[in-house]
Amino acid sequence: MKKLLALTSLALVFTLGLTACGSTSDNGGEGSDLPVASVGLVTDTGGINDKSFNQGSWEGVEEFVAANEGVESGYLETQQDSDILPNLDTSAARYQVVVAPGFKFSEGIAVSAKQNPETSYVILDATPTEGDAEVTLENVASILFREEQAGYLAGIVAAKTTKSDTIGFIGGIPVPAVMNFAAGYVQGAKSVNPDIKVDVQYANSFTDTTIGKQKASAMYASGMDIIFVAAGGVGTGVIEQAKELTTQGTEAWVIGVDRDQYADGEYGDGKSVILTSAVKHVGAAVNQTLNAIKDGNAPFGQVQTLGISEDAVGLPAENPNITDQETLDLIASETEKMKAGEVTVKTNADFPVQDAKIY
Amino acid sequence: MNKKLANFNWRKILIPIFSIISAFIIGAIIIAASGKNPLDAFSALFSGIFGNTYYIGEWLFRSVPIILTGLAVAFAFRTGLFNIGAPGQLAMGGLTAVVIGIFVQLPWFFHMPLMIIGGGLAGFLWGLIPGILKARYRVHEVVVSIMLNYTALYFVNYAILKFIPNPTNPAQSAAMQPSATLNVPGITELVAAIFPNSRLNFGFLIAIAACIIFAFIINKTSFGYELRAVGLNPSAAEYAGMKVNRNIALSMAIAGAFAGIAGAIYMTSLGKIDVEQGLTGYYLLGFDGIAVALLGNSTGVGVFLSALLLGGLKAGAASMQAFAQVPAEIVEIMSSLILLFVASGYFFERILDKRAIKKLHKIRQQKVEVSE
Repeated sequence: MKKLLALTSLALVFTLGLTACGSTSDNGGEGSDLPVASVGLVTDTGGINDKSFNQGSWEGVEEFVAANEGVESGYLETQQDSDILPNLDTSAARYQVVVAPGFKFSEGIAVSAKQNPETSYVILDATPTEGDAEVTLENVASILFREEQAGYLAGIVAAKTTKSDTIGFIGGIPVPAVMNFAAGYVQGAKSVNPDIKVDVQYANSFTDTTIGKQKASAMYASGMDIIFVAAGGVGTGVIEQAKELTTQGTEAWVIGVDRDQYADGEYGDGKSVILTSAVKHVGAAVNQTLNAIKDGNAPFGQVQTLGISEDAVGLPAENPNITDQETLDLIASETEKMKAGEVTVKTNADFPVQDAKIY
Repeated sequence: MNKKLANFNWRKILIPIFSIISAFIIGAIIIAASGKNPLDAFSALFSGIFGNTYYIGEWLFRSVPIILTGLAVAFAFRTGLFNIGAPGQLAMGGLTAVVIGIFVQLPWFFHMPLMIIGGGLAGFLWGLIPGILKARYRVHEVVVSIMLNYTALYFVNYAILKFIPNPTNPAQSAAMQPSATLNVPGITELVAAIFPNSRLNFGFLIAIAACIIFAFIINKTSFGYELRAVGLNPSAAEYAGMKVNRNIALSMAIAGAFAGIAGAIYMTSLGKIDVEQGLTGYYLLGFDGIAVALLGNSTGVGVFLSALLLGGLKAGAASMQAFAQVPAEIVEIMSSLILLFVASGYFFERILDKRAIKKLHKIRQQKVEVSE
C-alpha cells in the first residue's frame, strides 16, 4: 500500500513538475499578418502515411510551409467517415486554410464551408456537393486532375511493351477519378495498336488486398502480361501477385498509380515489377493553390482541372523498366502533343469504361 | 433506502474512477515526455468536448452509437456471453434501416420507428445465429460472431453496390427519402437552438430510452433475473428449472438488437451508407462497445456514463491535435489504459480489501483496549 502511494505521488510530482517546465504553446498564427498564416489538412481514413493521396497532399503543404516562413501547419487524421465533418470544423477553428484530399470530403466540405465562411478550403479530386448536387461556394477551391492524360501515356507504354497484346486494368470503386484513368488507358493502348484487347475490372474496393491478388492472378493466368491498377490498397495485392509470378519466372508487369510506385514493386536486386506509374502530382497542386491564395488570386468558387500542361499528371521522370528507346520517344512526343492540344483524350464522361468488359 | 445505500458496493464506482484518473496521469506523463505541455493538451481536449455548444452537441452525437453497442455487449455479458459481434449486428441493422429509408415512403412518424425497429430486428436475427449455435451445439459465440462480422461487412458492401447504388457517387448508397430522418418537429428545432450546427438528433433520446429498457429488463423482470442466473451459474440455473438454452439464444439476440438499433441510428443520422466502412466504421463502434460495457460494469447507467466518457475523449482528440499539437492517438492510449485498469480491477480491489481488513483490525484492537 505504502509502495503504491509512494509511486503514485512520485508520478504526480513528475507530471506536475514537467507540466510546470513545459513550454506554453504558441498561437502566433492567429495574430500574424501573413496572407496565409496557417494551413491545416484533414486526411480521410487512409491516414497521413498512406503513400498516396493524403501523404502527397501533406507533402504539398509542407513544401509551402518550408518556402513561407512563419506559416503554421498541422493535420488531423480521420478515424471513421462520420468524423469528417467535425474534423473539418475543428481545423477551420484552428487554421486559416483547410485542405481536404479526396472525394469522401465532397459533402462534409459543403457543410463545413457554410458554417465557417471565414475559412478557406481546398478540396482535391472532388467538388462540394449537397445531396447529390454540386454546389458552388465562395470559400472553396476545387482541384480536379486530368487522370485520363496520365492513363493515356500508361496505355501507350503497356501497348508498346506487351507481348500478348492483351492487357488488364483493375480499378477500385468506380468513382470518376478511377474511371478517367481507365478511359485514358484504353485510348492510349488503342492509339498504338487498335486491335489490342484491354480487360477492364473493378474491385469495388480501395482496401481489399485479397481481391486485388485474386483478380491479378486470374488476369495473368489468362495470358495478360501487364495490369494497370488504380485502386488504392487493392494495388498492393496486385503487386504482390506480380512479384510472385516474376520470381517464378513468368513475366508480369504492373503499372502503378497516383505516385511513382517503383519502390513498392521491388523484389530483390533493385528490380521492380512496376513498369511505370500514372502519376498525379497532388503535392504540387496543393502547393500551387496555397501560393495562389497567398497571392490573392485563389480559384475560390471555381473548379480547376489540372492536366499535363500544368505538369500535374504524367509518368515519372525515371522509368528504369522501360528500356525501349522508341517507347520513350513516343511518350515524349505524345506528351508534347497533349500539351499543344494536338491530341485530346476523352474523359470517362465521353468514353465510359465499364466493369467486366473487354475493350 | 438507507440500507440500500449502506449495502452499495462503492468499489464498483471506485475502480472505474481510479482507472480514469490513472489513465489521465499516465497520459500526462506520455505527453510531457514527448515535450508537450499536458495541461495545454488536456485543456484543448476538454474544450473540444464542451468548449462550446457545437462541440457539446457533437460529443453527445458521437456517443449515441457507442452507448447502444455498449448495451449490446453488456447485455450478453450479463448472461455470461461475450458478444464480439456488435460490428456485424450494427452493420446489418444500419443496412436494413437505409434500405427502409430508401424504398419505403411514409410520413416521418411511421418512417422513423419503422427504420429503428427494422434495424433492431436485423440485429436481433444476426445475434440469434451465434445464440442458437451456442445454445444448441455449444459452438463458442466468439468464433461465430467474429466470422459473422466479416460476413456482414462484405454483405453490406455488396448490397450497397448491387441493390442501392448511388448514381452519382458509386462509393455511397443512394440517398434516403426526405422523411427518413431522425428529425422530430419541436425537438429538432430545440436541439438546433441549443446546439447550433451540431448533428445531435432524436437518436440520443432513443439511446437513453434503450439504457432504461436495458436496466428494466435486467433488474426488474423475471426474464432478466433468469438471464443473470444463467450468467452466474448455468448449471445452478438449469437445476432451478430455468431454460438455459433459450435464455442464451435470446440474450445474444437481444444484444444484437441493441447493436442493430445503433446501426440504424448511425446510418440514418448520416443519411447514407459509405462503401468500405468496415474496419474504420463498424469495427470501431462495435469494439468501443466492449470497452464501454467493461468500464460501465455492464449496467445501464454505467454504460451510459462510460460511453459519454469514451465518446468525449474521441470527440476532443481532434481539438487536442489541432490546438495543442498533441497526436490524437494519445486518446487511444488513454482509453486503452482505462480499459486495462478496469479489467485488472482486481489489483485495485485487493488494495481496498487490505485497507478494509486493516481498518477492521484497528477497530477490533480499539474495542479490545476499551474492554480491557
